[in-house]
Order: sequence, then structure tokens, then C-alpha cells
Amino acid sequence: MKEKNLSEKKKHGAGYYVALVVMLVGTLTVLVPIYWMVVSSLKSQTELMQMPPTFWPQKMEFSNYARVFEQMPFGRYYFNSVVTALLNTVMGVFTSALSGYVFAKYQFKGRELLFWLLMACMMIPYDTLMIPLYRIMVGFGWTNTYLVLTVPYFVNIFGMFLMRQFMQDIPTDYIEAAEIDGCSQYRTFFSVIFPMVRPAAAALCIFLFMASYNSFLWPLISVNSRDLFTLPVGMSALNSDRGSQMDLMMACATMVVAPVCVIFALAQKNFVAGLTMGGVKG
Amino acid sequence: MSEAKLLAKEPTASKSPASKGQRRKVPFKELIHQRQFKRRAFVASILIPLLVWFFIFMFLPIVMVVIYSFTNAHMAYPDYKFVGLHQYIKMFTADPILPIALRNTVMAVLYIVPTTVILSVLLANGLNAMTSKWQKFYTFVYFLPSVLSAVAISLVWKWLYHQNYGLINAMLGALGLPAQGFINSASQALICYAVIQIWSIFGYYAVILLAAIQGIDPSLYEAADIDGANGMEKFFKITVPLIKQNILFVCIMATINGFMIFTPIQVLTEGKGTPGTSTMVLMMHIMKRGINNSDIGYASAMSLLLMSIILVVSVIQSLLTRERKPKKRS
Repeated sequence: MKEKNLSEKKKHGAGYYVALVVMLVGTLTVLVPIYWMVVSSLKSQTELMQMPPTFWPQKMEFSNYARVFEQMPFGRYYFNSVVTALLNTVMGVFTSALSGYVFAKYQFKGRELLFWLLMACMMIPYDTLMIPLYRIMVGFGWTNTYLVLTVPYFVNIFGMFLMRQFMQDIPTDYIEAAEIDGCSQYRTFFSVIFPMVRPAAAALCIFLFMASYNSFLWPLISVNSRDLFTLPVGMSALNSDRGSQMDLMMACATMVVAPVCVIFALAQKNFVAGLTMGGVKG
Repeated sequence: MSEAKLLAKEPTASKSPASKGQRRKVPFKELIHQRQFKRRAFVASILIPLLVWFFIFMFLPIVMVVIYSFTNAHMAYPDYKFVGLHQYIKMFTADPILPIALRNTVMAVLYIVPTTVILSVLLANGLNAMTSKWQKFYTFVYFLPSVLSAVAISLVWKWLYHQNYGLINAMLGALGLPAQGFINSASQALICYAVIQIWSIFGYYAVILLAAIQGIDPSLYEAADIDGANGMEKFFKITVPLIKQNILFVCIMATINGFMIFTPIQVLTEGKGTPGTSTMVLMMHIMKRGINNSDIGYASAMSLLLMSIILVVSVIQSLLTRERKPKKRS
């Protein structure tokens, strides 16, 4: 703040400093729970029960983290969460981009009708459809398989809508030029069109990854086998079994949250873009 | 729209009189023809899997939720029969939990929506006033909770709310105030869960609104400065009216999220809605009846109820803010 940049063009009156202080206080309410999670995960059981609480562990207790691995197959859950989230992201981005491309650049019968039908479905809160969807998956025999954790996430109507918006801005000349050069339709898409929407696709990637990695309700319903639990479901189950051991719970929560925090810190711009696209674009 | 439609162009070209009957002799026309076939195949290769997915995971659940709600469908039996409005009648006469769940859900929405919207508008305004360096820092901090797993957040708050050793009670103790029950108290539990929901999402909405505020023409504020308007006047007379549509969007999103409140309560009460029935919300009741009790028919009827409540409330909110400037979007 010392070097007031001329390009900032902002007046720093008393109000500005009041706002700054209020914002700092707000920051504490956001950060304290996260700080408390990390600190508690490093305390011993006895120190946790100490009143008044200590704000820094007297003795770092890293064994809490090791205990998480003893109490539950954390590695397995991690694998399930990350692998399904990655697969869902890759599939989601390609289905969104391809169908967005088709809806933006190709003419076919019933295109508008189909598109608005899809859009209308976006208005329905999907969580209320979990019960029939579960019944359908039981009918397919897909429950307790990886299929149920992946295939329902493969298409994202919002992503499709978003990609269509970006594809519409691409001049059709590019597509025609690629065709005349003898590109196949898929080749045109992958080597000409897709690179042009890469920033939007990157943002969509983050949106899809987070949606899959953090999803709780559907994996909770559709998977009973412990081998297929994802992190949120596994964490919730651990809470049912060992919920009173807060050191353990906090260590588990820290491990689930830490990678996301780190990636978020490194790619803040992409994250914010990816997760707020709905608000800005739609 | 200048956007050219690829397939649309071709039929007009091939129908032109010159091409009639001499298609064989003009290789270029053949090329076009071939290309059109390739295009059709491409479109089909994408649309067919998309439509299959759409049918199974979107269309079918929507149709089935309606059908099931008129049947006695049960997970344990493959057959079900049509029972008319029985499930709906049961909803309002034979389910003592449903009115409680409805009331709790509405209360949660009333706690969550106004607080979230007001906090996010104020925060967006605050973020907008910062220099870009601070803005980046604060955006990071306030946005952080919305990227974290809701289950992890719930567990963190469980620890903060802990009756004997929780941080909040420790702080109250330090101020000489009595310790509170929080999630163990029937009168406070629902508010506590609403706080978790608000805490984890308001920064996200603020960032959405910040983008809208940054889109406002700065000359409006300059004109207001010349007219001697103070910060409050600028906020209420320029900022708020101009981002009204975005505030509406946040309102609707927060309302939907409020009605769907589930994760923190599910995790921390293990699906029971304790203490007593004070935190039994609609979404949890649906899951309990539909999944735990396998009563798909009844759960479907309640899902439809929840869906229609959300729809009606969203429509009302849009109508209330509609009058002057109907939003035009491409």
C-alpha cells in the first residue's frame, strides 16, 4: 500500500482504511477455522482437551496423521477420489467441448429445440433426482462399481452451454480452411478449434474437478463397499466410527483439504475463473 | 448473427441449377458432398452418445421421479403398482416428520439467504475498493472455503462447536460468557449449521458480484463524485441498482442451496437430525425414507415437493426484481 500506484486511481480516504480493517477482521473469521484444523491435527489428545486451548501445539504430534492411515484405508480413498475426479474432468471437458462445438457450428434438425431442452434441465436441482437415479443404477447393476462414480459425471450441461458460448465466437472460416486442407472433422476439432478455447477449457477443468472431488451426496448413496469410498464419504464414515477423536478427524480433514489449498494458491486465477463462470456467463 | 452454419450452406449450393445432373463431372461438388456426409457422421458421433447419456441420467430420472411418486415402488421389490395420490396424501396426513422437516428447511433458508446475500454484497463492495494487490489477497482468503470439501468443513466446525473443548466456547469463556450447547442444543443447532453453510459460500458469491461491480461504467461514479455524493449514496444509488440482476442470481443460488442443505447436518448428526428432530431437514428426510427405508415411491413424492418449492420460490424472486429492466441474454 505504501507505493500508491498512479494507475490504481483509487483514493485512500478514511473509509478505505475502515474497510481494510473490517476486511481483515472478516479474514480472521475465515482463516481461524482453517488454522484451527491444522493446529488441532498436530496436538496430542490430552492437549486438545486442555482449557484454555493452546494456540500452538506444545509438542508436534505427527503421529495423528499416521493413525489416520491405520484407522481407514486412506490411500485407497484418496486413489478413488483423485482417479475418478481426473477421469470425470477429462471426459467432462471433452464432452462439453465437442457438444458445445456441434451446437455452435453445425446445423441439424431440431438443434435449437434440443439445446433449450438441455438448458431447461439445468434448472432442475439435480440432487432431488438422486432417488430415481439410484434406482436406475441398481437396475443396471452399476452400484458398488466405479461406473457409478464416473459415468454420471461424464456430461455437464453447464459446461456444454459454456463451451458453446466460446465456440460461437470462433470464425467459421477456420473450420472451412481446415477442411479444405483435408482435416477430418475430429482433427479439425482437436488441432484447430480446441486450442482456441483452451483458457475456457482450463477453467472448466477446475470446475469439473472440484465438483467431482468434493461431491458427497451421490457417492454416499450409490456406494456401500468400503473399497469404493471416496474421500468425503470415507471421512464421514470415519466420523461415525471415531468421531470423538478430534485429533484424528482434524488430521484427516487437513489431508483432504491441503492439496486443494495448495493448488488453489498456485492457480488462484484459474480457480476463481472456473468456479465463478456460472455467475458471470450465465 | 454473422455466424455461418456449416451444413446450412451445402444444400443451397448443390440445389443450384448448374449442378443438377452433372454432379459426376464436377469433382468439387463431389468433394462438398463427401464433406457433408463427414459432417453428418461427426455430428451423429457426438450427439448419439450425448443423447444416450442424457436419456439415462437426466430424462429417465425426471420421468421416473414423477412415475414413482404415484406408485408404491420399493427397493426390495422389483414390481410396483400404481397407487394414485396415496403417497401425496400420506405426505400431508401420515408423516409426522415431514412438517418438522419443512419448517426446519424453511428456517434454514431464512437464516442463510438474507445473511449470505448481504454479506456477499458488502464484501464485493469492499473487495472492489481495494487496490489490486489487496484485492487478490482478500479474494484468495474469502474464496478459500468454497473450494474445500464440505465434509471436511463440517468436521472442522464440529470441533469449533465442541461443547467442552471447542474454540468458540473457549472464547466465550474468556469473555466471561456462559458456554453454549451449539450443535447439541435443540434451539441453536439449526443456526449453527446455517452458519457453516454461510461461512463456506459467501466469499464465492462475493467474487461473482465483484465481477459485476467491476463492469459498472466508472464515469457514473465520477459523475456522482462531482455531484457530491458520499460513499453510502454511491453504494445504494449506483452499485446496488446496477448489479440487481446479479444480486438476484446470488439470491436464487443461495435459496436453492439453502433448501438443499444436507451435508453438514448429515455428517454431524449421522443422518439423524439430532438433537431431537431440531435439524431434520427435507433433503435428509428424503434420503432417509428413500435410501435407508427403501421407500422410493414416497421419497420421490417428497423430492417432487422439494423441487416445486424451489421452482416456485425462484420464480417469485425473479418476478419481484423483474419490473424495470428485463434481462436480455444471448
